[in-house]
Formats: sequence, structure tokens, C-alpha cells
Amino acid sequence: MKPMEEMSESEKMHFLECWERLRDGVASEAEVKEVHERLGKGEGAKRWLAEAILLETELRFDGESLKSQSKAEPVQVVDVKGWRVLRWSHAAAAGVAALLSWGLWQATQVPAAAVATLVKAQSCKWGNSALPTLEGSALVPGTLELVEGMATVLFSSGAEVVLEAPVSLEIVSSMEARVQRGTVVAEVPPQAKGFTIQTADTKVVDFGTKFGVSASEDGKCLVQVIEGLVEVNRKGESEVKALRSGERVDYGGMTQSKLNPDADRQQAEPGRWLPAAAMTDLGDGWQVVTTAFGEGKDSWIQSNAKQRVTGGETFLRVKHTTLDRSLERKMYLAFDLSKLEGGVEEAELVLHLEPSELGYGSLVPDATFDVYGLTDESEDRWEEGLLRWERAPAHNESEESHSRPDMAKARLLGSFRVEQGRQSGAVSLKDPALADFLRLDSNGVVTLIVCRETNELARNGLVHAFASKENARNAPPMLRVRVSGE
Amino acid sequence: MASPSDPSFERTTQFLELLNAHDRALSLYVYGMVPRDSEAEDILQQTKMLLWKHFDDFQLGTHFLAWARKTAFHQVLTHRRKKKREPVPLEEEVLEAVSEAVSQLAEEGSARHEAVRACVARLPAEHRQLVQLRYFQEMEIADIAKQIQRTEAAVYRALSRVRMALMACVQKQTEALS
Repeated sequence: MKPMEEMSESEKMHFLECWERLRDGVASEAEVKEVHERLGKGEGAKRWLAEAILLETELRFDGESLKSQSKAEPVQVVDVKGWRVLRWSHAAAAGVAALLSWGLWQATQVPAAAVATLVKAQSCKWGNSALPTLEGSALVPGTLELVEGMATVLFSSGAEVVLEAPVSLEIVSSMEARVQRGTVVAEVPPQAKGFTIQTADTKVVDFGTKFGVSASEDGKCLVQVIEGLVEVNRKGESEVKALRSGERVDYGGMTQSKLNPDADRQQAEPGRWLPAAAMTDLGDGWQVVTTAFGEGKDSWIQSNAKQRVTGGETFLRVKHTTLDRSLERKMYLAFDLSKLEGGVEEAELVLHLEPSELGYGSLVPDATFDVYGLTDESEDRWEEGLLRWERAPAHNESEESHSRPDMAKARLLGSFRVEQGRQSGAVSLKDPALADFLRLDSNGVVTLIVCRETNELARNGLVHAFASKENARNAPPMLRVRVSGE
Repeated sequence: MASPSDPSFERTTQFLELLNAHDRALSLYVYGMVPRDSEAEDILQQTKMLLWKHFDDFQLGTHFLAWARKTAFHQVLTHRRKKKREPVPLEEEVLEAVSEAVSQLAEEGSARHEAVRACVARLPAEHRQLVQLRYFQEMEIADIAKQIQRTEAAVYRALSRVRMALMACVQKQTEALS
């Protein structure tokens, strides 16, 4: 083996890789051997590796402070990492304040120790919480209330729990958490075997795996194993259930209420509402038309014929997966343009995300949605109640048509993106191709088909949901159109 | 609690001054040997408690940092044994050899900090994202691989590449400064 000075860049890189794996405990025998041999070769290798390690520790230790580019900013962002409260100022003497904090610390013994870290917070909105909600914060036992978005908590045992809003999670210890209501996905590495998630009446003990838990305060609980093995212990049941990959247990009919959330929701105004909310003149030639106007309609189709879609739901579901052929879902929107006066200059499609009650956001990365225009106008007259997988515009049973429209009858108008875990707010597509497509309409109705291009990472990934025209909380799908002067 | 008239007050102040002066070097030393920040913090906390408990055995004028490091090193070993990672032969020797070298460098001071910051800022966006995920957000390699849709091996390789680039950059920067 060559001495360090003669090593090429790629050999050095490999050496560094081996070291990193060794330290992470995943090195192969050959890699372990390489590190030892190189280090045995002399001071050069040690010194070089030491420099590499030092740089890495600086990156980790100084963390976020390295991100800011201005020198003026103070180095410490927040004293997040437990003991760093003791890192006082860099003044020469510790000072009285420090002494006091030391004294206090001594007096109260160890303060509640951090048992977890909030490692990631994506598009998060937090409810009342005694715990810090800044990314990187150390978490002591307590409750996190996530209203919107997705957050990842890394327990010091190594277990990682992703909170999918809306959810309320109590951190009990480094080995235990309690879901008061909502959905979490836990990933538990071997060293954290035994990590436990409690819900009102159910206890889930993990044996090195990835699994999801949804719970509500009334005791309903759904446990779904994505990978590995968990044991489920339900209050009042003497037997402990063992669940393996792909299996689930559903107490209290959680799945049923998730598949059909409208069932227990008092629908204030069934059917069409907001008839006036169409063709509003916004000035400057801008007009808005929603799917609630005139011949407008919205629904979706899905490849599982057993799931009935009536078109009267308050949401529209979209999903793409190559892991289960029966779970593909495509959204259909029709807008009535018959009252549109003047030529279309610009156009924008606006949709509102709805909290989906199906699947786990953790399993779907940032997602791209493609919007297609139905070019075969003879199919514009589809009916909400009759729209089915077997019978939908620009759709056939061919393989190509499974996850997108039949391209002989439709064309791509553009795409929009939804960040991972986001389940609220508006998304929009503004593209000259959309305006073009609207201009070409000759029968007063246009049909848009929305498909998710992004696959799920594993089974049970999130099904995206958008507000339909029947939704009373969110705006229906709408087209914003600017027309040229009268 | 100690009061200024207490003889223990002076001793406490001494301890705090020493700890404060060497805090960064000690922290970097422990971080270098432990892959997870949270674990490193735990070990540092235990180490500091031990140091305080045994401060009476420490003789002023001798090398505080060396003493602190020795204590920390044993904490790291204890921690690793507790975690029962697969036994890797010679691991302790490797750790010791490397940690020796790291501790020499860690004393070089804060000029490096500026250099590292400047070099991170200069990285191409894609590489900066990797640094962000791995070192700032402390994500596992497997999760990064998932997120950026590459294999774990590719992530290890990419991180090595980024670190090599950073090392070269930092070296240039610090040379220019000194």
C-alpha cells in the first residue's frame, strides 16, 4: 500500500469513505482492513484523516452558524444542544452569570435531559407547545402539536418519528412516545429495538422496522407495518398481535372512516353551492370560473373498481404508484367557458390542497403533478356520477394510459409541484400552453386531467387530496383567465 | 451554592475558566469520535460532570485539556461498548491514533471557523445541500439517499468528494490568512 503522499485523489476519497463507514458501523471487512493498514503506514495518513475528521466535526458542531455568510452575526443561533447552555461567551473569564447558571444547575441537579431532537420541520405550523419548534432544537419530554406540515423527531435511542399534521405527539422518553391523535411514521434502527408508541388504548412495540400509527382520542387506532415486525397490544385483549411487513390492524374502523371521511361529516349544503362564484370579474380583464359553474364538474377515477367514487365527495384524490396497480388515481376537472367573453390572453389553474386521510407523507417525496388538456372534445360531456376507470375521457386499458392520459386524445399543458408533507394551501399552474388550450376550445367546456408524476417510495404513500366544488371549507378548483378587451 | 467568601468559590471559578477556555477543543474532539451529535452531547455532559467531580485530583499548572480529553476518551469507549456495535478489531487503537491527531489540530483556533464558513458558502448548491442534510440536519446516509434518490454508496462517495474539496479550500484559506 502506498504512503499517503503518493495517493491519488480518488484513493484518498476511498480512504475517507471507508473511515466514515467504519465509524458508522457499516464497513465491510475489506474496508476495515484498508483503514487499519493505511493508518498503520505512518503519520501522514493519520494526520490527513485527522484533518478530514476535524473539518467534519466543525461542520457538525458549528452547524447552522456556518450557513450565514455575514461575519457580524453572533455564532450561536440558539442554545439547542442541551449542555451548550454552558458555552457562555467566549470572554476570558466565565463571569458571574455563568457561575450563577452553574450554581443553579448544581442546585437543581440535572435539568430534564433532552431525549430527542427536532431534526426537520417542513412547511410546519405549530399549535400550542411547551417544546421548542425550531429545527435543530433539543426536546425534553413533552408534547408537540403540529397543525400543518411534516416534522421529523430523532430520539436519542436512534428511533426516528415523522409527524404528519395534524397530529399531537407526546415525547415520553428516548424509547417511548404517545400519539394523542393523528398520524406518525416511525423508523426504528436495530439499536432502538423495543421503541414503543402508545395510543389511547393500544401499545405498539417495535422490533426494528418502519411502521405507521394513526390514532384518535376515542381509542380508534390503525397500525400499519411498512417494513419489519411490530407487536401490538390492545387494551382488553390478552393476546399480543405480531404484525409483519404489509400487515395492518385497524381498531374501530379507522380505514373505513378514512376512505370515506364525508360519512360522518355533516354536509351543510350538499350538491352544488356557490353558483355565483363563477365568472367573477376581477378587473383588468381577469375572470374566475370554478368547477361549480354551469357545466363544470370535478371527480377522479381510480384503478380499484371496488372503491366507488360518486363525484359528490368534498375532495378529489390523486395518486401514482407502481407498487400496487389498483391504487392509481387521476383527477378530472371540467370548466364551463361558455360565458367567457373575449380572447384568452393568460390563464392559471388554481387548486387547494386538502389534508388527505390516506397514506403517509413520509413515503412520497416532493411531488410533481402534470396537468393535461383533453383535446378530443367529443369526450367533454362526461358525467361525475358515471366517471369510472373503465369509462373515462382519454383513458383506456393500455399500459401507457395507466398513470397518464391517452396521449392521442390529450396533451400536456404543464406541471406544478407539492412539497413533501404539504397538505394545505393553494397550488397553481400558469402556463402559456394552458391559455393556448383554452383558446382552442370550441364547445364551451374544457376538461383538464391531473396526474401525479411522482411515485411513492414504498407502499401506503400519501394520496394527495384537493378540494372539490362540494367542499365547504376550501375554494373549489378554479381557472383564472385574463381576456382581451371587449 | 458557592458564595464569593467560600474557599470553594475560587475553585469553582478556576474550573469554569478552564472548561470555558477548552470547551471548543474538547467538544470537537468528542464530536470527531461519535457519529451522532446527540450522543456526542451526552458524552460531553457526562465528561464535564466527571471532570467537576474529580477536579480536586487535578493539579493546576498541568495540562487541563489533556486531562479532559483522557476522561472524554474513556467515556466514548464506554459509550461504544454500551451500544454493542459489531466488534471491529483494533478499533480502539484506531480511535486513539486519530483522536490524538484531531486534538492537535483542534487547538488551531477560530481563523479556521471563518475559513470553513467561507468555503461552505462557495460550494455548488448541490454539494451545499449535502452538507446541510448530513452535517447540519444530521440525517442518516440512508435517508439522504432516499431523499435525493441516489444509492447509499453514491451518497458516501459524494460526501467524501465534498469534504475533500472543502479540505483543500480551507487549507488554502488558512494559508492565505497566516
